[in-house]
Amino acid sequence: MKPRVARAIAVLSLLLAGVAHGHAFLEHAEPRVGSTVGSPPSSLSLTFTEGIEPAFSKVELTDAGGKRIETGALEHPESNVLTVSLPGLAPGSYTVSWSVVSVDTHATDGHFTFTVKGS
Amino acid sequence: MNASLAVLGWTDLAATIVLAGGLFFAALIVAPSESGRRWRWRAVGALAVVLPAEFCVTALRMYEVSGLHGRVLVLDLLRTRWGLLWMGRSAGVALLAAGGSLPAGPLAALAAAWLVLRSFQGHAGAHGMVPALVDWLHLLAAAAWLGGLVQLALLPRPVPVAIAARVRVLATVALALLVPAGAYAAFLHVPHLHLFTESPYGKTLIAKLVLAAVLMALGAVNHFGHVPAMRRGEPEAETSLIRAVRFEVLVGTLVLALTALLGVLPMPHGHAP
Repeated sequence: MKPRVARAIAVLSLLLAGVAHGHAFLEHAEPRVGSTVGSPPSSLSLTFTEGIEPAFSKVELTDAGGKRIETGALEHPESNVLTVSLPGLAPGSYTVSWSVVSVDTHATDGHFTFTVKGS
Repeated sequence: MNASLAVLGWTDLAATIVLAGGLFFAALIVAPSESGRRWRWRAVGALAVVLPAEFCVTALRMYEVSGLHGRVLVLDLLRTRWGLLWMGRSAGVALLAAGGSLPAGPLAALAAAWLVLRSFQGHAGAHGMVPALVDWLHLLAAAAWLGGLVQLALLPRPVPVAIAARVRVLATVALALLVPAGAYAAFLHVPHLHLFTESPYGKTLIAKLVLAAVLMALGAVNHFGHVPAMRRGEPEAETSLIRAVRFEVLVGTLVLALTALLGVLPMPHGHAP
């Protein structure tokens, strides 16, 4: 490959690095999607593929019986991250339901589960 | 809701291009005709209707997802990045309309700066600074080209050869910006080749690229055929040029419709968390 072409591809790759994918999708979560954690997490953190608007976004937690768990207020420490503090969770399976609006005003939602292991 | 947003987006984009492109034409080519100026005012009028309508539809969408309503909904929407850019775009239309007595150069520079706000408001802006700036170059070039063609088609006949030659240069420069900026956006928004054929976004993008190729072919006919024929003094050349330009504007309008549709379609993504 000619050096100029290689350089052009390298520049394009750099420009494309860190590309998000349009509407905001969940990139990763803590506790991780589908994971089993040994001790109850003190907070829930969701990272999205692009910046989101917290005023129009929400995160809800329900237990295995579908009962809603009261969480702390929604926090927005980075443009693409939402966190909520959690009360002490009993062992069991939990579902996180999220609904967010990206900075270009497109809405997306989804859910995932994680499990807190019994001691 | 997406259909109404796409129609509003199309009107918004077309009016933006007629307004900004008309100002670029006045600064770079020649003062527009009376009819050309009327079309610029029509674009201002269309934006004065469509921008509030876009705000209302977006507020309704935000109500549906959040349950917020009334004053809180309006204020929260105005505080978002989209809302701030919306206010900037609306103020920009007012400035461009009020600045009619300014010289063509500063007014065109103001129009170029105004286009940045639109690029940061959409998909590209959500991706970051570089994609938004590349989108701005794409929009700038599209406005100069298509908006310039609208003004060219509205000039009194016969169109002087010198004017046609200047538009030819402007179109060539615009194309040199449009193609790489468009290719960058295509690879950015559709990260895997198979997604071009497997996602609604990819399929719409292919349709847009086909129409853009038709547009470029028509431009090539003007560049290599009609304008040189006008220079040689061939009697039918000017009529053929204007006919081709009108057809280009028609195809360009369809390209803008597909661009507006891309603005509301979710971009394909190839990963799960």
